[in-house]
Amino acid sequence: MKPGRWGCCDRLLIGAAMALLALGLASCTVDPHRRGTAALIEPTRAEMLVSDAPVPPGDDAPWAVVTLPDLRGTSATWYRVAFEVPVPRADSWAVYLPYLYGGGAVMLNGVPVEQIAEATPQRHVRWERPHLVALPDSVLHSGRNLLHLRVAPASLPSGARLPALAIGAHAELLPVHERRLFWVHTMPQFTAIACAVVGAFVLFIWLGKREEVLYGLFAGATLFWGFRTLTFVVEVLPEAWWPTWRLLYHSANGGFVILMTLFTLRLAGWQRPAVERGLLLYWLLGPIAYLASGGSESLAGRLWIGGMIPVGLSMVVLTVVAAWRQRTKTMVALMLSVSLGVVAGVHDYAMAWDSDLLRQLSPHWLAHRIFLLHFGANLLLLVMGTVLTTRFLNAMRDLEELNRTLEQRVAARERELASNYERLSKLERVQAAADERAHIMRDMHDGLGSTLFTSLSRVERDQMSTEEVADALRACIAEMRLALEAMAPEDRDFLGTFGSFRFRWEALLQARGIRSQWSVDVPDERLDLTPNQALQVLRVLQEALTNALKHAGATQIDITLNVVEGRVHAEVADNGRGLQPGLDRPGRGLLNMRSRAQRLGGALQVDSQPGRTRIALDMPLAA
Amino acid sequence: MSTRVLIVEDEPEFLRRFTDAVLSDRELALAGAVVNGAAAKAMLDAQPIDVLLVDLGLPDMDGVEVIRHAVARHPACDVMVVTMFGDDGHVLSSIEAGATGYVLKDAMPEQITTCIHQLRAGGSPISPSIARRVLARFHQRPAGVQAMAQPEPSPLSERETEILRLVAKGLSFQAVGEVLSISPHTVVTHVKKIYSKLAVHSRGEAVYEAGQMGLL
Repeated sequence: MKPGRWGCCDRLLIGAAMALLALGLASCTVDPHRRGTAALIEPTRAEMLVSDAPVPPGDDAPWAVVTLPDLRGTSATWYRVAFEVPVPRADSWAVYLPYLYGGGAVMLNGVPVEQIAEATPQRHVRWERPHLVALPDSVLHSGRNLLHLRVAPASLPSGARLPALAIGAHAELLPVHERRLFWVHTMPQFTAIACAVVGAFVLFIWLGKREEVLYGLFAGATLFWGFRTLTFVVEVLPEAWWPTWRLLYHSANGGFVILMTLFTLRLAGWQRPAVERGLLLYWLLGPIAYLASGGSESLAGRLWIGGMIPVGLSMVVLTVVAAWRQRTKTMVALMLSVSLGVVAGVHDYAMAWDSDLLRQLSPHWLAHRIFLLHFGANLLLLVMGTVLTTRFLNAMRDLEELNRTLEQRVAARERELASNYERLSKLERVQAAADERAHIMRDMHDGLGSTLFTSLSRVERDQMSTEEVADALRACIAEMRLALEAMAPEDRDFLGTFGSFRFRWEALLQARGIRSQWSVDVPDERLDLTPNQALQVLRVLQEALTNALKHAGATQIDITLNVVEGRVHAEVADNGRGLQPGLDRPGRGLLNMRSRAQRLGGALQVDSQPGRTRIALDMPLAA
Repeated sequence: MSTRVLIVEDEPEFLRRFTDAVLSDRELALAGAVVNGAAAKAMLDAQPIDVLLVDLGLPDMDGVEVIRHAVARHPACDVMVVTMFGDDGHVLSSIEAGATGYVLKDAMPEQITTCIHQLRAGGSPISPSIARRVLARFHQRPAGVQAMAQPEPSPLSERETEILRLVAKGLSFQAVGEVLSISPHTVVTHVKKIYSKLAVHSRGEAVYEAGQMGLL
């Protein structure tokens, strides 16, 4: 991907990263200690007694003093804290508990004020949410008050833990409570829903386009992450479902990490099938180990998930190298988000297993139990989603570009074809015109030429009377007219040519006192013939008319032209004395007509008897 | 009073042929027989001429120029153009210049005189190819063919257009008259009117074009 393309997207990426980072940091500062409100009482010490009794043991019991937060308890424990309420007191008071994973009870001055459901053999509880317990005005009195807290053990994190609590005005504690509630409860709810929607959407895209593996990986990672986040949303569960729930949790948790790793590997351009297979196998290992060990949290949650840390660290190294090499904003954003994600993951891992390192570094931080992977993973998903969206948009843009280029090419090709076709048809026209010219020239050579040469020769030998010469020349002129008529019409409509022919012959016949009947029956009022066809048809008609005029002594001549089913039919019929085979000239004329008819692909039909002679030409329209 | 005819023909053979034809008719008077355009113009200006018989291929100028001269200066003079085959493009340009008839070069003497008399009587001959050209000239092609451009309003009447269409099909004046139920004489009169309209139409265009070119 070219860096230049990232003009708009990098701002989006950086903006999203900054926003998430800011949110994450803001959540870290939700700390009553820093609020510096004088009205809040934040006890640092309490008295503790391990006892599963439903009511707090009396003063005579062996209470022991501990510092808060107390994270070491393993079974149900009673704590008691004494605090002073100033006089006068204007507002209602409450006690704020950042968490109470296993549930428990709150008593004020011996009066129960709150019960938070505890686990039973049938029910598994794991309260992620903070608790704000109102202290009734009727029970709270000025001066010294005694608060009893029963803390039930939880399975995850194991043991009974009392966090650093705060007592004070309800109005002041409420925003603190709500802030933590948002981050540990509302945010996961939102994340789970958003991941489900986005994951399903991308999965849908991937199902339609399997070769885009990145989409599949992203969809899987998103769905896994969304499911994994449910563990913070579902706080009460039937005990029977618990092992399955945890199995699914571990599978999703590992799946998220592995799929994210595969995604990053591909995006960084470091694709090794063996490594991918190895990672997928490792992913399978977790759930199998959990099942095989009968639900060992330390095996699956600690060892197996712990094994993901090197994977994450390799990812960091890989993305750093890739970012260094590629120097694209995508890779840099990916590198940063992967790094943050891995740091958050390691932090959470340490937090979840109460790492000694974290305990030594900042016991207060550990006591607050603020998990960061929510934000790290969300950031990672957001960055990767943006990368994918950008790739998708770029692919679309490339596709559009490709289409445009293709369209241009097709258009260019079409133009080329059209011009080729044009050239070809022009050549064809030229060829056809040349053919026609050749036909007509041969015709003039054989017809006009031969008549002229014969006449010349005979005149030179004084063998022609003036009358005969005039006849021969008139025949030549008639021949000429015919050729001109045949070639004259620009639109090749034979009816126009035939009109000129008729005009000339009708006048001629009339001048000779011969009645003529012309009948034309052509569909479409149009008849397309080539100049050569036109010339040959007129020749046949002219020859027939000349015969009738000169030799038949006819008084009535009928000329017919019609077209039926693609065949031209031209006929000359007279009432003369009929053809006389003995005479030379009509015989040669008939032979000429026959050969012309054959050259047109047609036939000449001659019926002759005294009083009725009919010469008919029948030819196909297309030669 | 006989019809005074001026013949303009540079080929001696045809000059003789036309001269003989005119001389053979008592009702025609030969006003002159000249062989070039300049002489023709001089003769036209020198005396009244009823019919001008003019060939187009003159040695000193185009016959069309002589026709224009005659039409412009002597409107009473009828112009006949001499043509080889009766269908060449020159006939149309002659008609546009103002000629109202044509005579074939190989016409028999009696045909020549008949043509002259017909012209004086108010009629004109027309061949199918000229009819087609005239129709095309007014963008009114014969049936079936669509005009390429938007036709300008035709100056021809419906009857005139109908006559042209029938003539273009090769029908004689007799046959045209039969189809339209008018006499052949009326047909030839219509043809002369058509020719005049063509000339007026074409002159109007010439004036317009000259104006466009800044000549006027």
